[in-house]
Amino acid sequence: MGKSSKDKRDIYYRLAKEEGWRARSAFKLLQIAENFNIFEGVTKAVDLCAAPGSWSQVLAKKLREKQPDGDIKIIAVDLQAMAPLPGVIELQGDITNVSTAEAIICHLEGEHADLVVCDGAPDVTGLHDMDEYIQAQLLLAALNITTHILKKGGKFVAKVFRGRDIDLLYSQLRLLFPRVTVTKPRSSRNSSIEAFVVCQDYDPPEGFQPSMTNPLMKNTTCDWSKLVGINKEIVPFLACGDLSGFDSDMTYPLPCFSQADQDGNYNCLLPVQGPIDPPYEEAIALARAGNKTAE
Amino acid sequence: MEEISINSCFLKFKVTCVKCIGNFIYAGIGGNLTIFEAVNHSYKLSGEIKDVLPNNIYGILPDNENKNIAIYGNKKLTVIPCFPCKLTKSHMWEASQWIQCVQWLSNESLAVVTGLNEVDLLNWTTKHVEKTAICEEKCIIYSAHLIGCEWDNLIVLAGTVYREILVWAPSKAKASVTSVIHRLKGHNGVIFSVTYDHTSRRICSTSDDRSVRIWKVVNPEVCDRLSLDQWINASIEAQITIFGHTARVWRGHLLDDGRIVSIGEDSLICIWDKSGRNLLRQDTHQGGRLCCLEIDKQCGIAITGGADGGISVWSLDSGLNEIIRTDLPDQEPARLLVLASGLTIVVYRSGCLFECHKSFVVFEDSRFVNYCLSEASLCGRYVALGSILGDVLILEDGVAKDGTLCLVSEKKIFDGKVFSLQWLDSNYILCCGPEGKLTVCKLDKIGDKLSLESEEHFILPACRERWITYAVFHNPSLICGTRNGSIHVYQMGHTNKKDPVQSLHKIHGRLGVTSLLTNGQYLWSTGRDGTMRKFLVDKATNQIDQVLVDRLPFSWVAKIVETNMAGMLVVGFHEKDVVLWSQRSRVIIWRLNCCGGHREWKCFVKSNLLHFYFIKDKTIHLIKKPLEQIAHPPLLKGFHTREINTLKMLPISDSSTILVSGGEDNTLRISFLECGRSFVSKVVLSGHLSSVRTLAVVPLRKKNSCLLFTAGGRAQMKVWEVQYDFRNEDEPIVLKSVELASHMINDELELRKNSKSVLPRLDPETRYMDISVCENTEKEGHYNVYSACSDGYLRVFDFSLQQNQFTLVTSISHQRCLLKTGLIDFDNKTVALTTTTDGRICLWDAVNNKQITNHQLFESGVNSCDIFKMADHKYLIASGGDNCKVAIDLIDLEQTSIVGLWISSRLHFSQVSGVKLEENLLFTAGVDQRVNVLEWRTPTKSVFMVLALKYLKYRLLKQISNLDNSELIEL
Repeated sequence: MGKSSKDKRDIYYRLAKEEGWRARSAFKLLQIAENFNIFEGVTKAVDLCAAPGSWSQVLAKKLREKQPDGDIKIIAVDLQAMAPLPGVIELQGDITNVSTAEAIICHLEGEHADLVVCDGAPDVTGLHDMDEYIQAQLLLAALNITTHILKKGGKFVAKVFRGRDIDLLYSQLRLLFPRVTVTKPRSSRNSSIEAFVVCQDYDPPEGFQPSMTNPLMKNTTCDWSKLVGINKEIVPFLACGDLSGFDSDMTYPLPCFSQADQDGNYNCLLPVQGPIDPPYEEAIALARAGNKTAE
Repeated sequence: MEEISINSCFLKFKVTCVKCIGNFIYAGIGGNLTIFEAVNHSYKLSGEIKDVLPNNIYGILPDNENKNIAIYGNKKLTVIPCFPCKLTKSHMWEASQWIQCVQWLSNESLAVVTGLNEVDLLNWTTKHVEKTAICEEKCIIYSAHLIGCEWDNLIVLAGTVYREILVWAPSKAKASVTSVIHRLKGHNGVIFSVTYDHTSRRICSTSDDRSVRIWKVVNPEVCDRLSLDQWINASIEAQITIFGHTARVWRGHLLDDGRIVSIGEDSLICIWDKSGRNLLRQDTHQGGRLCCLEIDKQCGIAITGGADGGISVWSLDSGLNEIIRTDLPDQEPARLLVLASGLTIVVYRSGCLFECHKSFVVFEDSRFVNYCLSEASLCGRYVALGSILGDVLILEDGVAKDGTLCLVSEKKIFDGKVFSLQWLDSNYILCCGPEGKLTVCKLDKIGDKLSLESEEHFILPACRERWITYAVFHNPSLICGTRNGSIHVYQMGHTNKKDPVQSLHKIHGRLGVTSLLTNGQYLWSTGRDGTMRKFLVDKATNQIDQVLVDRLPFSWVAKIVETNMAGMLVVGFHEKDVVLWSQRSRVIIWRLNCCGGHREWKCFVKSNLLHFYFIKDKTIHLIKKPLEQIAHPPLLKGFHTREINTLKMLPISDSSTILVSGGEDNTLRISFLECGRSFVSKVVLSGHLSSVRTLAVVPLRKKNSCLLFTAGGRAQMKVWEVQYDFRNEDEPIVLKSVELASHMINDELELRKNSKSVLPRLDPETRYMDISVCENTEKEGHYNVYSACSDGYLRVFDFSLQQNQFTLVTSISHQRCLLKTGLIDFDNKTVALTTTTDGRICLWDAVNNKQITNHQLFESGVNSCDIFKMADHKYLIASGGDNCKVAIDLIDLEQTSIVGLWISSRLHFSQVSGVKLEENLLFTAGVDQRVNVLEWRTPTKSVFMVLALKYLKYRLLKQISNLDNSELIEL
């Protein structure tokens, strides 16, 4: 397996490197934005679970294109350290923790956000139910932060795992947003269980009080746990992205791209941004040092 | 809407929880509880309770008197009696969040730590939560541990996502929240587990950062257990940090003697001593994911549950290898002989045989200077020596009073060098000489004297390195493995036939055959090509027929050791290590650095002790390893280690079926399932370079045999021949399962009629998504294979059984990744169906490369489809989409038009992964773990269909990847 093997597997991985995105997921947000026009009029945006930063990159680029005169503010939050991005305020912390939520609110300086996005996924443990639960918790945490900072009529876009209890999650979202759509961008693989919820026209129920005193995912004025069973209204599903665009499942032959040099040899690009300070850094460094002494 | 209940009758699933209670082991497999009982120091399956929880069981905890056990997982908790363990109509309690940890308190109360760092006090008598303590640090926790048996002195250890372990006491609530007593900082990632041992006052935590950390609770006071105030006043210090796992560490456990046991994502169970030095690194569960760890202190064993559905047992004492060293004087010895009497003899290049314990020369002869072949007989009484001039000497042990070896017979057999000597029996020896000459000699007793007589002569076919590396006698055949990797069969008793009656050329590759073993009607061979092979010896013709190839995780497969206790063990070499692989558990169960297989070594099992000798630095190293330490029988045997992508059933009787499955773990498995009684995985077929995504079964004319077509990653496709025998219903046998042919798209130049571009270089990541196979009705022994590929081509191959070869017939481009194929037999013409990621269903006249219909059904991929034949050229095509929808098309093939369509988006909440049409019924399954059964009717011959949801949705525990008949038996 050479360096180019991942390039061969995935067209969007290759395109992301060509276009300078930190991850292929950038295309997912681009395709969602194109279909739902979510960047229109947005000047304040929050990117939760931002690392490695591809969504923040998209926000930074597209918001400035759309609103060249606007006072653009983008706040990116993640558990992992992230390489700096121009025009993006970065915070490191756990979004399920209240202190992180407070830090974001503090950075907004009393203003409201027009858009909150969350592409967070747990570091998959291989236990599907646990992963789905954590994913749902991440989404609820993101939603809770959103209730504090999103202006009325604002938008919320988040990744969900379409697992066993996904219907309950849809009902919860419906309480806060009259328009909820599930979408799967063409750049997301057919085989993956991920999908995205696009929630528009933020409109919390009357008397809804965003709360920080209670644990995050248990807002007493809006009791999630009482929503049991299947909402009769089906949340519409929409595939987004251009049908004539690239197919993320399809394997495309390599040399038909600009990366091929004059002799037709394939030129593999390096990743745009390598991981920064990963948890396993020390373990890897020790293992390498150990190997050296053994030799 | 009518309701019926659907019960699962068989589940093979990852083992998410194991717990020892008294003489019993309880295992959580999905929502079922499997119970094992200790009988005479070994555990036997004693029962199963189904559906204890509606989701996976992650914890099992007995109360202090072992009267009741709490069983929990996800947000659910229930309590059932312990002995006898049975499911009562017990209450099911639901927590508000994921349950991380549970502790029994007095008066039938439970403390429950939930996912947002809260503790509930649950009174099980009233089923009410009496108190809830909320930690000031509100965040998701990945792990927790509770210390104490009373609410008032309860301590919580909580592992966060963000590098910290929080210590707090639920009873110390101030206002609405409870403050944190200690924060343990040091980990650099998610904390996956945290445990506490009160005798040593140590905390053990494991994390994403691949480390195990030990923390010491320092409090000068001497007492049995620390009180709450002592916890508050104590300081907690980081004591040791252990790096050694190569991936995330899931669980850690502190043993009473200070040792630490840990399991990780790298599939290793490790044991560390008090100071963090590694004592054991053990591969587990066929390299698959480890799910849980339990320690049985009484038996001194660790029990692990894996994602392969297996439960394995590991001795806690198996760690260190005690090496017995015997230093040798003088020069480097060439060979080592271990005789039955216990004599350990080294053979020097000087032609001297030297007993190394008593340090004296047992035999010496100048003919053997610089070249001495030596081989101990199978009975361990004789030693055969071969010289460079063709002499063969037989020495006997136990005759001479002074302990030396006695020369009992000698003969000059060849005019040149003796290349190899192989004992076939205690008195037959095969000598291999120059130019491929083989001579079988018999050691005969004439009067008091032994004499060596040539009995038969054979000749090896000409080749380079023309000598034998191993030989066995299987009456009346002599079977020889050679240095060039071939196996030859000679017929004994026909003195005029010198050539082999059968030759399998280079079957073990260029590095040679390393050993042969006969066992009843079977022959096993090992080689340096990383394989062991099984052959059936035909009684009538004495021909050998390869029936199985097992690829092992190391390339130098050296020897098979049969044991009563541990089944078949395989000795091999992997880099510098000698490894012992267990066929039963399919992992390397023991390894030791011996500096490689090129040095002199000996390995055998005697009275359940594994003996391994090797010579290094003029020293004989001997390791005696008790088999019971390294080869505990598994409680449950494992199955696929990763997702099962494809599964087909071949019913053999009303109650039993053969299951053929292929998975993400690159293997194919053939198993027997006797409904509700037993499931035995019989054969593991390895050979696919990447995942097996799809398979098709075609019966052969020969009774009880079929062809298996498999395809998957790396655009690789294989055909296997499978023969089975189920005359004995209790023990069905897979007689044969061998690969006939293998094909990769890259192998040959492509026909690309529809593509404008010149032949693009194909890349190795192209995957076969689905295949369909039918017999060629015109040419016997030919099969048409329709394959859907991720590069957007439907390829049609012709497979010839005579030539064992694939030939590309045609390929049709779709410009989209294909997902499924299907075949319709219409008017003796084959119509191929394909589905794509852009939601299209196409029908093709594949022979003429002509599209019949192309129908946009969904806005995203069509993941599954099934075809049902109706009257009047009409067909029903059911399909399930990535967009959660299910559709049925009614197609008239004569008119080539779609005459009816029904779509529902209300059946599933996530992608539909399987659909199946039966007479009047439609089954659908999705990733949301729901199975729907619907009824359909055609009241008249008109195109309308009536569909009614007949049965209620049933929630499955497993994620369903591919709906085959298999799921029908689960219903």
